[in-house]
Amino acid sequence: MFERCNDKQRHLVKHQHHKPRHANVDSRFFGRKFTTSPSLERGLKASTIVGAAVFVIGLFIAPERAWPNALLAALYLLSISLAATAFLALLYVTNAGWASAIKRVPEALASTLPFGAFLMLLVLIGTPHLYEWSHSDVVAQDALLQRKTFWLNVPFFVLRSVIYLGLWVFFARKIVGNSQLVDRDGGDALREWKRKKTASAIFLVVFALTFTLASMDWIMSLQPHWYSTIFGIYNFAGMFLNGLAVITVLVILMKRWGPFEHILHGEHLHSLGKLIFAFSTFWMYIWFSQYLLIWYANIPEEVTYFVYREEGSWLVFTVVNVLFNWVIPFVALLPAWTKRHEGFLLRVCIIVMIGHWIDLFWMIMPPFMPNVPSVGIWELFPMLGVASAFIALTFRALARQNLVPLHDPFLSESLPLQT
Amino acid sequence: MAHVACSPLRKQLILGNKSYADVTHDVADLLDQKPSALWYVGMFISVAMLALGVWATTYQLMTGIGTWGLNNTVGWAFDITNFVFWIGIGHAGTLISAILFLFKQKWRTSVNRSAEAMTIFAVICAGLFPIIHMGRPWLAFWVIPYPNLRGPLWVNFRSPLVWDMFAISTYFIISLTFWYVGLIPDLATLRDRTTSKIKKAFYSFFSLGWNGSNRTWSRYETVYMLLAGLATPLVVSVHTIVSWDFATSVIPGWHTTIFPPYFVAGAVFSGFAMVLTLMLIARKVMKLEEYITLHHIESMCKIIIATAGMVGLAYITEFFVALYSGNEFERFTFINRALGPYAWAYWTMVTCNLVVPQFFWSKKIRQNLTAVFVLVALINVGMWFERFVIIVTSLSRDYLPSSWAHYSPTCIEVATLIGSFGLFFTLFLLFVRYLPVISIGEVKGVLKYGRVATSPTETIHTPVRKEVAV
Repeated sequence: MFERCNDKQRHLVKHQHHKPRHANVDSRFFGRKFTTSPSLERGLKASTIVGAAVFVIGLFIAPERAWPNALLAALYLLSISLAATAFLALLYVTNAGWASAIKRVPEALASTLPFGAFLMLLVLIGTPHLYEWSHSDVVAQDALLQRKTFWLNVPFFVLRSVIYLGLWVFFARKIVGNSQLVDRDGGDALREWKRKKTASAIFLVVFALTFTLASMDWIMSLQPHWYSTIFGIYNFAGMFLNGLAVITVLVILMKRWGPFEHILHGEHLHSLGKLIFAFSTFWMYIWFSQYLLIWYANIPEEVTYFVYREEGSWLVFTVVNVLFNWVIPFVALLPAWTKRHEGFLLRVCIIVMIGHWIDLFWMIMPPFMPNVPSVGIWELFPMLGVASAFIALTFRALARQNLVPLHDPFLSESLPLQT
Repeated sequence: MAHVACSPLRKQLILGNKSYADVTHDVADLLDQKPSALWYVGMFISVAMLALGVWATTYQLMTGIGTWGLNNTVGWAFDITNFVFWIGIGHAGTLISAILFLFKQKWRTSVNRSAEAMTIFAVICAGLFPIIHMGRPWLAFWVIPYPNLRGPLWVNFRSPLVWDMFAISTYFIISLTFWYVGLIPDLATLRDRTTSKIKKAFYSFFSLGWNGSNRTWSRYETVYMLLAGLATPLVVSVHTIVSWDFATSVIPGWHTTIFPPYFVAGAVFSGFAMVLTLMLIARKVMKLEEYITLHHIESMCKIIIATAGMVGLAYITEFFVALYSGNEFERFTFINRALGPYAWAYWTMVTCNLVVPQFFWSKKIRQNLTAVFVLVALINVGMWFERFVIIVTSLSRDYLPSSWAHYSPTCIEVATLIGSFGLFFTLFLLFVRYLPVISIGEVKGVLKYGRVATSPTETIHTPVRKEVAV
């Protein structure tokens, strides 16, 4: 079941707290630095500029496609940072030890949250293009929308969005915050850890409430007649699944590119793989719960949501969505070896990442493309552009520090057991 | 699988510097001693409650379910509330035994045995209510689809009630199997210790020739892992399907998509409250304070905070979406819950399930056993009322004001509920008397957990008592 610490590990533990000085930390954990190559940075910059340019052109040529895609791209990136923050918060509140060695990766993703928040604020400029309830003439002819104006009105909507984003950025800072400082001067790691644990617990409560409302505001109100109480949980499931996939991909890349060599081992991959497996199944569970209940009751207001998404080529998206987010990860990650196999896990994660994009597309686009879904230049280029910027920012955050958290109180539990 | 507990933040799971032999003695000796006076008192009260329930059930079966307070409008009320309540209680057992196992939470070892037993007893209590509700329980087997001579009479596969039958019976079988498989090594220990021939024969039969070899343990661990993997989706499916009993309808307050995860979270929430109730009594009465420590109690309190948060989120979401939907029936249902004739039940539910668990944020309260006992009792009450509120308020006032009706339970219904508690506690008391309440084999696996970090030089001391001759 478990083993006693060997001398080396005990040595680490002993010196972590009594003398929080670098001198006592195993020298193998120093110099775990990640550096981006200039050519990669140039490529990302170029791709960002091209994406932004296409988006700006799209605003004039095809605003009905540019804005929904901007919303999709902003939500996709925001959700990665948010999932990483929630992942860290869960690690803190559950006293999880297994992930300490790799926690710099979710921290880097979480520290990129302001970028996603900024994108989301930009998207709010497009409110009139996105939300039919923002047009007073539409509302005037719609009795149901009139009853919703207490919630669905532009000033309150913008105010709420700013509050959600502000709270998330604030808590992400609290949770990631001084983590690097502890490494640098050896500060009081234990006290810092406890402070982060408290922040994490409060964040999880705030996050549950704000995320539910945010997903209803930003996505559900695109079809303002429709409502589903499970919607926030559905979005959380997809978001967290994708976040885990991104974390896993980055962790594997950090091993392949050097900093996590001899740090990342099968146990980490196995645990991440199990979480991806579990959340993929959780996503399917929530998807199915929503579908079954709406199908079964067959109430016109509700069922139109799925009618839209089952007609014509949209059915293809519905099927691919389920395939990428659940069927493939579920079957692929069922055996133990696939979860521990770096290359295999990497491929599954990429499928999940594409799957989450499809999931958001499937939720956001039908009102804008009622008959035929189309994926072309307006969909792909802006997404690639902001994704490149996001990658560049994440790489910068990763490069800022030693990638092994030297004084994490659980570090010794997370290191390779047989070196 | 190797997991090293090195962090100085890890707490010792088992206190008292026990040796392996101490664990065997502490747990197995409980079965050899005569039960305490307190046990007899408990048993007397439980059996009395059970007898009341048996009387009430007999009476209502002979007279008919017209003895209940149901009417044309409110066709489901007390019995279905009890059914959902008991099914929910069971969920904590599976969460502890399967889900916490998959999450490698070592502290589960001290409580999993009794929590699993609790699951089985709770499912038994739950199953009784729909069967009684059928009015002719001797025809209960009609819910099972099989080739029969009843003409075109066949179950409706689109009915969640049929899914319920499948889910709950599967759940019961798997829970029982899981519990029994976990018991095998301990039954072998008892077999090797006992001096009575009858007991020896009994334990030998049920320990399936366990010999403690490396190969046996390795097979056992594989089976246990697989069963944990199977039990996890099952436990989720059970309360999901129970929630579908309501949510597939078009009744406001019943038809809402959040029901499946909300019911599962609520089930775990109520289940943990019941586990804590039982554990607080058991550790005191059976002097198991060194096995079920404050750390265990605190951990369970924390799970209660988390699940209460999920339930609270569901309450808020439901209420919010009812307002957001603009649907006047939805809006009315929720306002009716808060301000209508059952407002007292609604506010009991909100207070007990939303406010009470927030006290557990304080470490002081988590460590005050009296406070914990009172608070979890309130949560048990609150979760019973949650089901009552959902079922009765929605039915009593739905679309047609002309058919609105009020429901209040009769004493027969109350007696049946008391009887189910009697059955539950009788079974539990029998369990603690005849089977090891703590998993000896698994606790030995975590005996050293957290000890190393606190004092690296300490070694596990040698047994102080002699092993009983085998």
